[in-house]
Amino acid sequence: MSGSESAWLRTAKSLGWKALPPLSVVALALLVWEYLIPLGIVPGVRAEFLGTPSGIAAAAAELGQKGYGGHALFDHVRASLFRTATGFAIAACIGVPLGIVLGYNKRAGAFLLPIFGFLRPIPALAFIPIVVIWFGIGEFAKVFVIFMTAFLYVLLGSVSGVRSVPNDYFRLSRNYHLSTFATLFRVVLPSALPEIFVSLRTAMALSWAVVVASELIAAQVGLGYLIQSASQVYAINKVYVGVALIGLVGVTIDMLFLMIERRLLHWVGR
Amino acid sequence: MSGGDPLSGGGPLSAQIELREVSKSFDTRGGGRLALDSVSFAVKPGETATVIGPTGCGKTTILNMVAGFTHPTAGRVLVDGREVTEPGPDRGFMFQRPTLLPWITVFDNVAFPCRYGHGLGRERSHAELEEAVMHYLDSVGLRDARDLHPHQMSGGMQSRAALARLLIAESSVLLMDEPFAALDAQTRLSMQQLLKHVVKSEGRRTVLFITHDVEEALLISDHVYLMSASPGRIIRHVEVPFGSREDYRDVVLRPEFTQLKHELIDQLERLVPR
Repeated sequence: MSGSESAWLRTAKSLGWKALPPLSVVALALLVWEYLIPLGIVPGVRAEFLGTPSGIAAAAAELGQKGYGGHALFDHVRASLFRTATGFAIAACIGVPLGIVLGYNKRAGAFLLPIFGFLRPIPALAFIPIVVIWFGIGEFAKVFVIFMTAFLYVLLGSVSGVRSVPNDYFRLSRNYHLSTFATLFRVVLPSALPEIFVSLRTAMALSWAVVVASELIAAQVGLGYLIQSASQVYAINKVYVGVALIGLVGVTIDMLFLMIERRLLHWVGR
Repeated sequence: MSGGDPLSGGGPLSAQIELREVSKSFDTRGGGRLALDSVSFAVKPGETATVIGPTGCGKTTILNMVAGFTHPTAGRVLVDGREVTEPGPDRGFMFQRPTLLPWITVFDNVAFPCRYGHGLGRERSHAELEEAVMHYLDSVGLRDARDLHPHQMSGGMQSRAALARLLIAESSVLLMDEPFAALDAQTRLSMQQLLKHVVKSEGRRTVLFITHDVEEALLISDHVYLMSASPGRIIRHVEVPFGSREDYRDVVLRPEFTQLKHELIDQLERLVPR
């Protein structure tokens, strides 16, 4: 065992040596930020608007203990997550089945797909003013914007997944007289699943970005509200913490999706 | 058994697969392009017939018509005396690539036609299906690979699994579209021998095989049909005196084999425009 132990140690050591240069750059940057930038060396920006690493740490501690705007920090995260999850889940539940049907049935696809193809490249942010006029600034409006974003992505990803099912799979199904049900669930769906999953993952990332944007406009709770509200009183360090949290949650969600993907789609990429 | 009028469909079964003056044209921008021109031949039950010809001569189109994936522009395609109208499990199809479903195991791939197909004759119980799958996995030498996924196997093993899936449906007609073309020479030879062995030992399958490999055709078939290109016509019929019956090691040593092979290769080469 000592052989493998020393191998492990060697790996750890070499990793340590590899991490040293970037870590030293980060450390140097933090030092400059903490001690030189407050002296006003950045032209055009007031030094107190740039914050400091120690200020960010203090802001993080304060947000963690006292929350913000009458809500605990976790409540802000939860509010944003809940809106995203709701809009995304509805989008996936409608978008995936509809996309499979429209991809499989060429005639139905010809009717509807050009419309969705036109809507998809429009940035979700452009819909926000319209949705606010329609539904006001309540919860429903935010969930709806997320739904719109995720739905179009998932729908068109599913269509494209079904269209890339190899023709020989369809011939195999026809050869043995598979029912439409068996063809869809035993052949088309599994074959299209990798592409559907990619579209789900992208849609989720977009939804998370859009929820923050929609909260910037009108919300009493949520990470978007937190950074918007903190910036209005120039609490720059709190804004930094909010932005970092948005990134952290986004990365965590993406990793979760990757984990599910690796389990579910065990045959892909082999 | 009058055996008289060869055009009376549904008569006594002298041929299991029959093409009668089959033509096929495809629509192109400049009008129709004739791909097959009045092709006629018949395959008797239990025989293996191979169509060889240069690329683009329409040999795959012939196979697709017998399978029911496409239809002739003129003429008739008959299987068991009945006109082919649609694909069906009485005619198994082996594709150029193994076309295994990558998300399920070899066992489930082989069981696939029986589990989800319709019209494959008798229903099999769970135990019978398991027995049948293992029987065919055994006959293609994949007994130990039952729980592997396709990506865990070599190209040759995937090809064997595809053959087992073809055989399990009990189709009396096997349609094979250059199934071994992508394999290396050694694996191709062993697949040819395997196919020949299985077909011979079962004695109830009629095979229509497509290839551009003359040696392959001569090693596995009772009849070889040579086609010319655009439009595809049958220009030669060879009744192979040894092909499907003997071991390839004996066959390849025969002077007749070598002579026939070179004749056909020469003829094929003359068909390909330089």
